[in-house]
Amino acid sequence: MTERVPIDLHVHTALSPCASAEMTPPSILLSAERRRIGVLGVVDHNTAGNARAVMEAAPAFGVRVLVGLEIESVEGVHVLALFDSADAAMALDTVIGECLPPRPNRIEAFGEQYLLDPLGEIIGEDPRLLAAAVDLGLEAIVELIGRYGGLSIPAHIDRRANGLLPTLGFIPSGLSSDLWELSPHTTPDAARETWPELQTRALLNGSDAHFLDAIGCATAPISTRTARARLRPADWGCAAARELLGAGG
Amino acid sequence: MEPPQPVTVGRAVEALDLGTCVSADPEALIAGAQVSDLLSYVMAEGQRGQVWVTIQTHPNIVAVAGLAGMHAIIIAGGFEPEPETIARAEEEGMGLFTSAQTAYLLAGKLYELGVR
Repeated sequence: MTERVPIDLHVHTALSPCASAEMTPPSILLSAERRRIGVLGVVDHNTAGNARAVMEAAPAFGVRVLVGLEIESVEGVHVLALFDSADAAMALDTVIGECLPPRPNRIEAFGEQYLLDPLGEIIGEDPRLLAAAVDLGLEAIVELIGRYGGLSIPAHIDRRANGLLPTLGFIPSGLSSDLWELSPHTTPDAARETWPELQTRALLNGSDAHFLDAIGCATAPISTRTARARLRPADWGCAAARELLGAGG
Repeated sequence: MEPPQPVTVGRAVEALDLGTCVSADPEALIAGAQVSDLLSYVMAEGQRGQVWVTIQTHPNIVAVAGLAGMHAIIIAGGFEPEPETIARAEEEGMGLFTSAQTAYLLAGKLYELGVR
């Protein structure tokens, strides 16, 4: 029997609006390691500002890490953009930054947005309003992620707030993602019953953790071989999708 | 009080001063309206003969309105539909209109006209 590990591709750092200040690179990585997470995705809303710190801290922990952004499209749909290097994530971060509305964060509403170093020390704050939609449509964002060599995953597609299916009603025909994330509130089987169009899509749960205890609260099982496969993020997503579909996940 | 008179699409377009991207049968009677930006809600609640006020411009809005048998979509807030959205509305014969006014004001004006 194939050995499987849980993967959680959707965890936020303290840079995200409404994320807990405890979400520092070493704390996130330690929690993931303790919960035996095989592959961890670390993102922030519309930025990858802590990606470098996370990648620099990662080798000290027994977990494979992808970094990137959770981008909000103009329609209000959230999409994960994951990369295997901070440089690649930051290249897309620059483009997305130019598409953000030029407004300051409202700390009383969304909290502090901390930039951190690999040890978890605060080195600054992002003053921008990150809890916002960028001026790009969903399909354009998925295309952009692919062009920058990343893996795109529409996030919590079942969720009323910022999920693809409630927001846009159904998956647009031209959308070319391989993996589709479900919130912790449903399962692949239950989601396929509600939305039959998901029968042929590779679904995986993600935690969308904004505090440490939530890391790994929803995961997808994947073979250790695929988890460790050193492929381009987009190809890795394709391999993971084949496996998840084969396993009924 | 007089019961509200039936309102045609043509009368609403004129009274609300809507921009026309794709026209609809001006004689069609409006059987009510929806105001929502969640397409899943409109898929569930939209009714035949209604018009739909939204700020979403994605091509999916045409399919959702078509599924419910609506007469037209009114894009509020000064947003412009994507070219693909216009193309699909033309294919499906779905009325597609725009306005710089907010969804709130458009809904109020529709109600005032007599759309219930």
